[in-house]
Amino acid sequence: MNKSNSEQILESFLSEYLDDSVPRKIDATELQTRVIDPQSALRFDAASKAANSGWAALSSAQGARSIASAGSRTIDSVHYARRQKLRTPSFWSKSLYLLSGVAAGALLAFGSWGFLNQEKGTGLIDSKSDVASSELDLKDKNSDVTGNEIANNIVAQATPSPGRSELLSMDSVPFPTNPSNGPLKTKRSTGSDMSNKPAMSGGSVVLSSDQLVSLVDDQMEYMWKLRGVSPTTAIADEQWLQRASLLIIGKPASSEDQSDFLSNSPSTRRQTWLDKATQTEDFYQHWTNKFASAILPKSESTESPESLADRNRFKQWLQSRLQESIPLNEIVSEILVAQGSLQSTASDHSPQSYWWAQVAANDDHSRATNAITSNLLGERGSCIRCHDSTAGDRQDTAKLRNTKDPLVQSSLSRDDYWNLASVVSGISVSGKKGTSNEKSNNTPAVASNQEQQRSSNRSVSYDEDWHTLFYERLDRSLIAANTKLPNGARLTAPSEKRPTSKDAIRKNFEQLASWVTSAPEFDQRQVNWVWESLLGKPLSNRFVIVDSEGLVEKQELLEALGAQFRGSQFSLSKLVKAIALTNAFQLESQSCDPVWYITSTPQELADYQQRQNLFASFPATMDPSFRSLKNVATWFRKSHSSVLGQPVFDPIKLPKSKDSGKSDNVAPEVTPAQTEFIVRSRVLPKGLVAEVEQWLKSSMPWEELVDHAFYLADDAPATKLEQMSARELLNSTRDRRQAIQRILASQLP
Amino acid sequence: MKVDSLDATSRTDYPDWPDAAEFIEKHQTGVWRFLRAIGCDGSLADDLTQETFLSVLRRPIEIVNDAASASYLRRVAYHLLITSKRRSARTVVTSSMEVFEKDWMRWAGEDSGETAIDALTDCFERLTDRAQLALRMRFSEQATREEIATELGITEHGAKNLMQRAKGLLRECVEAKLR
Repeated sequence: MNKSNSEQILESFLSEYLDDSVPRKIDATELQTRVIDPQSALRFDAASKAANSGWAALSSAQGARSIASAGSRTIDSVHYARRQKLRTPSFWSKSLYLLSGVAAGALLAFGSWGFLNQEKGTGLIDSKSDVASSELDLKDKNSDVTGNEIANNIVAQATPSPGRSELLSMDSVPFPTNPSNGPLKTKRSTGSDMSNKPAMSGGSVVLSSDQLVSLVDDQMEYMWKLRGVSPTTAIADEQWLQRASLLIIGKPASSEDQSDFLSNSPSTRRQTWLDKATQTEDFYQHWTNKFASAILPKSESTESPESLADRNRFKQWLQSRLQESIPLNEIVSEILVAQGSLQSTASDHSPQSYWWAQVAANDDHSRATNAITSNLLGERGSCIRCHDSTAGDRQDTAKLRNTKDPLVQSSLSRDDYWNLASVVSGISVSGKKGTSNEKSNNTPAVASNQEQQRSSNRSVSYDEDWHTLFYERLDRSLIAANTKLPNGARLTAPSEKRPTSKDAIRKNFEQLASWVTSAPEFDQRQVNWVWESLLGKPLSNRFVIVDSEGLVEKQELLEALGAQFRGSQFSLSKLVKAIALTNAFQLESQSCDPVWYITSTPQELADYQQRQNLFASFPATMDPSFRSLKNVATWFRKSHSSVLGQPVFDPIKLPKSKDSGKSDNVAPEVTPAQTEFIVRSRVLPKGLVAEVEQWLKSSMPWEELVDHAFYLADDAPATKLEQMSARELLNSTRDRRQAIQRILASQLP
Repeated sequence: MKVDSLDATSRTDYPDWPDAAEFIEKHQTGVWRFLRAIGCDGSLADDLTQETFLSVLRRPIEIVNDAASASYLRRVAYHLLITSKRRSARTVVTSSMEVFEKDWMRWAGEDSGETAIDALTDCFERLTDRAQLALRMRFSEQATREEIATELGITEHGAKNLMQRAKGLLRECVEAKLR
């Protein structure tokens, strides 16, 4: 086990105390001489030349010159002067004048779209809450059922209907017998009151494939009608084949595939193709990759070759389990109780331990808990570890989240999170990612063998010497976590006096696995990532600030599909086939090229966004050409780097070196992350503006603010590069409010 | 420049050194201790502390409060350490800054570790003489485990256990006091 941070800090303090060492006094005057670099005058000349020639045409350089001539001779002052001049209104007006009409249109479109979104976002939340509250009033009269109720009904129905080959016997029904005592606290069902409201379960049994397709189609149609959205037209068979082939088996259809496909009867050709495709090696390989991405946390840095080899072995193991038709819940259970070495030649080799090795590395049990809550259960682990929506310690957040809608509330409290973290801290990862013990022992004949033999020397084991976990509340009080699961099951807790037996810890992890994989949220999370793989984004985000449109209907559908997925023994092929045959999957993708963005009206942009939110057009994010605003940004930058690129983006980052070989009128470089911050920026919805105000009132350091913006949008903190870019943005704007709003806006889906 | 109130009108002025000196005095110990805690020896910590302030004074920051400034300075110091380690082709001592930062805040958050050092002084006195001697030899005289074992008349393994237990007790004691 690595030396803990506390131990490291203690030792440094001990060393300071015993060694009687003190920091060397810093001479402020000496620093002064170093800050005012004697070389700065030379750099100033170069920088001012660039400023005057490169930017004079676009803006008023008066401010720059006057500030520069005032006597400042540091490079910073020139940077500042240029930033100042670029922030003046005259810059934008003159820039826009010089820009082509196309670029000007784009700017206006972005702005207007943002404004429109703001208006629209508020209205939709209100209308949704109206729908939700009216639904609650009518709940007793409504015969609709949710996923949990389906589960109850299935258990209650002792006799399966005859003639349905896919019905499960009572013994094999994997639903919890009493969902109200289930792993997570069950949520109240909401829906919308419409006479043509589809019955979500289609009864109380596991549905056939056709019925599953109808279930989705009916709910989608209902959602579109409710909001007056007209879906795009359906695509032809050839297009469908290309789309399905890419998204289901991970490669484009060949001409042979196409002719085979078209030789079948039009009414059955899609089903026939799906039946065949979902049995292929490509299918399993493709979905193994998807599944691995869904359950593993995002990697911030490039993995070492050894770690990649571990990952490949993990994927091979996953694929073999999927091909053996092992249900996903069992696979996840095996992962959660796994321990052993990642070395392929070790006697206790366990490829599935890779998951723990990745999520619990460096004894970062918070990351591991996030992986369980977010990647396996679809909860917002990064939020609930600090904020307790169930305890209402943030009234402001409760308001923002529209408390009338219970769907946005997390099922887990902050204490649940940390109790879970306490359980998770019983695991320990030893060894390093990038080192291999086998390298020196094995001298393979060819490189490929060496690759195969490669592995890190990491090992996952239960930590007999684990300790009580403490966590801090927002009021800074320190609390000791209880080692128990959110369903109340108390487990073996760490003892400060004697080691805990490995068997006892193993039992803890077995209970953890059982709790996780029997949760309805687990089923929904699985459906969500499958849906996202096929339709570009999760069916339901469950986070009203970010994804409010149609949340009630989408969540309802998700619950039903989750229950059906469990009922069908987590049959991936059945779910994939069903989604591929739905209307939503077969819709035309709406044009998303830059020219359209530029020439469309704000209303068209708003309609476009609404269709995307409600799956009323095939998402542009799945279109390989111009996926999103980010792509548009890249397109602009590539096409107009010397003239249009910079003014369209925010001229933040100035060239560091004048010796880059570029001419003076070449636009300064903008890092990709910054480009994204800027170009995707739009006006924030009111709810988010208020949220940002709350953040600013707190004493959070800047980095934490940035992390909050990223957590809100993506449930993951900012990467180091993003943090650096955010810092640069702050330094340029010199306005925390403005900078954090832009960053948040840029990260919204 | 006031380090904490840089704005458009004051930006062209050179640093107002009395304020900068005050800023340095307020945060120097915290940055230095932090660098020591993440693995720097005294000399490197001195150098990097100076570089940290130099870097911040060259590119001033907007300061909200002392805690935020201290946090920012630690970040800068950490990045300077990484750069320094990269230059000398050595690995970075701590890999998870976020986790470390939390532990640091718990130990030394509010007052750059003054309370923790006071608590440590008190707790250290409560250790047995043998444990105190072992730790003094280890941290003050940089004695090897073998030398400590010889001095105390125990095996090397015994010396290791003795120091581990002593450090464990110290940690518990200090943490209890900090709570």
